[in-house]
Order: sequence, then structure tokens, then C-alpha cells
Amino acid sequence: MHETSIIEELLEVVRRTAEENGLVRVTGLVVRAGEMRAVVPELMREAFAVMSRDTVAEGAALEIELVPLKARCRACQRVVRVQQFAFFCPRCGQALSEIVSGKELDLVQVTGDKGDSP
Amino acid sequence: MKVTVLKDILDANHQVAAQNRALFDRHRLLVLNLMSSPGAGKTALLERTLRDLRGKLRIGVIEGDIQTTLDARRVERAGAAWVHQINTRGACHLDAGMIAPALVGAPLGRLDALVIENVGNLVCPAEFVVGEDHKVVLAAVTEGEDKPAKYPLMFRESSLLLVNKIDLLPHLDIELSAIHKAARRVHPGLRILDISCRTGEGLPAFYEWLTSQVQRRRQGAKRGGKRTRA
Repeated sequence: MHETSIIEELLEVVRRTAEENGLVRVTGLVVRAGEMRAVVPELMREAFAVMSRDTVAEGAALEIELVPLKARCRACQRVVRVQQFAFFCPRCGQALSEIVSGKELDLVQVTGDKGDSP
Repeated sequence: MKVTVLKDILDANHQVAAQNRALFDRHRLLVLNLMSSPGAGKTALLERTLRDLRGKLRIGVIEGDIQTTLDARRVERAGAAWVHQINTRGACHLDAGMIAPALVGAPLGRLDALVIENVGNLVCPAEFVVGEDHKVVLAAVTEGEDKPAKYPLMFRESSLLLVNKIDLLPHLDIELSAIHKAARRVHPGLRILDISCRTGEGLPAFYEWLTSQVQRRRQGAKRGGKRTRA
């Protein structure tokens, strides 16, 4: 469910990116997804395979880079890895309020074929 | 050919949400995005709130459901100042683009608050901002204490957690403190109110919060809600 909602948005971003760069066919995509987004790469790829039919990205390989969830501790200034979504500093026990990484949901690379110039 | 880009996949939604937001700003209207699992009591909370605050706050409601207009009729009967039903026809959440057309011609200037009741789901609604001031998450005690750990984004993004159906606690093997602890693990400092929409217990504290947020918004305070990215 969640993955199909994201793929629907992704396909629109890919369509525009292809258009801007004159790509007639998209063969590969790299998406960076933060841990907080809780995406399952396998489900993302399955949803993409189905939903990309009849689009510029039909059959493209979707690569997903997962970004670990990290936050800064305001007390000790350390950037720590947040384990199992518990937002407390493992060293000083303070609440972690500032997320440094792990909320991304970005398209970072598109590979494709240019059309022949007229 | 390889193209390196950096594009937020949800950017199109963010842009429409910003347009909705500008419209709400013009009216200094408090907007809440109310979310929960199916059956946690979102509509019951609205019905009770509308009845208890009749004559005090003019509250409009946008109902989001996959199908039917049952909820719209319920809140209309309870005294909503304006009601609009959105049927998502399969989509499991509301997004900014569904809210925008609903606002055309809406009497926003005659409302004190607008509550957007999202589709019952703890996953997708947290991903899609609609232009709200605050996300409010409702969780029934019958759902147990593991929901915040399973759906961290929802509990992390919300400004207020309402723990509903506390009148059922004597029949359950669950402690309120365990639910609070689980929610604050994901979101330290989260504001939590324990309520029962059946008995009315705890609701005055919610009404107080709601009224103070309306006043803040009227006075032109900037939004207290968070964007999707910290």
C-alpha cells in the first residue's frame, strides 16, 4: 500500500526528469530512502514493475539505497545512530530532537537513452 | 546516459500543500490533520467535540474515506459548520491535491478550525502533508502499545497523541503508562491526552488545547506543525 503510493509519485518525478533531459527511455533509477520512511525495497521493486508499464520507465531497474536513521544529541553534540526508533542518546540518555539523516525520499540518479536528434 | 539529480519524490505534494497552506494563512484558520487506524474513534471524537463545543467554536470538517458518505452525515448531524466528503476511490490516504479542490468555495472565513479526517491508516497519511498546522494521531487503548514502534513516522510527525477508549481499560491487560512510554520513545516530549469519547473523560483538556491553538492562529502565530523533513 505504502510502497504503491510512493511509486505513483516517483513515476511522475521520473517522467519530468526524462523530459527535461531528453530521455526517450529510462533504463535505471536510483532512489535514496531514509530508514524512517520504512520502505521495503522488494515491495518497491514489485510495485514499480507493475506500475511503470506503458511509461517511459517500463522495465527500468530500480535500485534503492537505504539511509540509516541518525540524530544529533543536543547535550553531548554527538551524532548517533537511532536504534529501533528509540530517540534517546545511548551515551547521555537525553532525548534526540534533531534528525540528521534517515527521512530522505529522493530520486538521485536516472539512466536512460537519448532520442535521435531530428 | 546517466543523469545525476536530487529530487524529493514527494515534492509535487509539498507544492500543492504550500498552496493550501497559503489559503489557510489568509484566513488565519487552524487546520488539523486527524489520523488513526480504522475504528480508533476519529469520527466519534469529532461528533463529541462538535456537540460539546457548539456555540463556542465553528468547526468545519473534511472527511476522507475510500467509499461512502456515512461519516460526513454523522458530523453534519453533530453540528459541523461546514462538511465536505472526499471519496478517495481506493487510495489509502488524502494528499494535498485532493484537499485543494475541496477548498474552492469553502466558507473558510466563517470557520475557527478545519479538521481533516484522514483515511484510517497509520502509514501513508503520515507521508503526505496537506497544509495542516498539526497532525493529531488518535490511538485506542485496544490497539496495544506497539503501534508507535511499528509506525514511527506517524507518531514522530504528530503534535498531539490522543489515547482513546480509556473507559475500556478495566477489561484489558494493558497499562496506559506503557502506551505513553512507547509513544515517547519515538517522540520524546510528545503531548499526550487520555480520553474517552464515550464517557467524555479527558475531553476538556483536548478542548482547551484546541481552543488555545485556534487563538494562537488567530493572533497570527506561525505554524506550530512540522514539515515532513526535520
